[in-house]
Amino acid sequence: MKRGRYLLALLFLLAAWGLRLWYPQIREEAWQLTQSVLDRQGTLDQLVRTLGRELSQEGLTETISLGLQQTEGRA
Amino acid sequence: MRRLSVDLASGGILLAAALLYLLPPDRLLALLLAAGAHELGHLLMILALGLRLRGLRFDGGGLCMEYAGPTNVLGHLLIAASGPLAGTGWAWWASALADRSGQLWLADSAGLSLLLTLYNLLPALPLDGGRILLHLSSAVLGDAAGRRLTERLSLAVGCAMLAAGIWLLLRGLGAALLLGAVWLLLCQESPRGLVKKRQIV
Repeated sequence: MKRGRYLLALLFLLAAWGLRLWYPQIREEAWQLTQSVLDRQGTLDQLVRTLGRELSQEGLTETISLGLQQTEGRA
Repeated sequence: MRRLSVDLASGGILLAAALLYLLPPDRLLALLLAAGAHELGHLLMILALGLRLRGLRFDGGGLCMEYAGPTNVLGHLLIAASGPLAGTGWAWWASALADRSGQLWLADSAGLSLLLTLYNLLPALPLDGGRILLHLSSAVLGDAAGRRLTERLSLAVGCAMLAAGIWLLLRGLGAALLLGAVWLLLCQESPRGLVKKRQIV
């Protein structure tokens, strides 16, 4: 039973990787579509990048307040 | 001694395949490192407290660890808090490294890790913040009152996030927060079960 589950997981992962390699155009379009549904204006993407860049320079609280300000500004 | 049980649920398989298919390689690596640092924090704390890892379950909600052995409230709190602490540590380190090397994916990993940590600290089950709240409130107010408080607060946080997610969607900013809220509400487990089987992160 468990072995079958692992085999299924392996098959799914291989299928995902294969589809990715053989049809890169479709994957790219699917990624664009996902982004346009989840993060239409790129706000989340920008927030992640700002948090990642500023953390080591500004410190934790400053970075979080900067991220919040940026998100509020977009909203 | 019982062997470690590893459970792979259908939701976990689908989630892993979807992420592997969709995410660009640098984003995939950034996410794996951020999530890995978080889980490693939990694991190291479990081992540091002399407890035993009993089971691993990977489902649509992510990775779940079950541990066994004698410990007190402080031990449970340390284990629940160690994931977010490790996530913050990785975020800071990756950010500093990105600053020096100019590697964008490291900055992405730092940002993702920090965002995941903040999300995980929300006081709602099954997030780490909810588990911290459950252990703390049960210790202070007693099991029944602690359970009730955690249950109600989890629902309130989930509903508030849902409202904020709908608002952001209507403002044209996308459905990411809404998806996070729906996931949180769907994954909410009953604290009754958790009190009987506390040793899960």
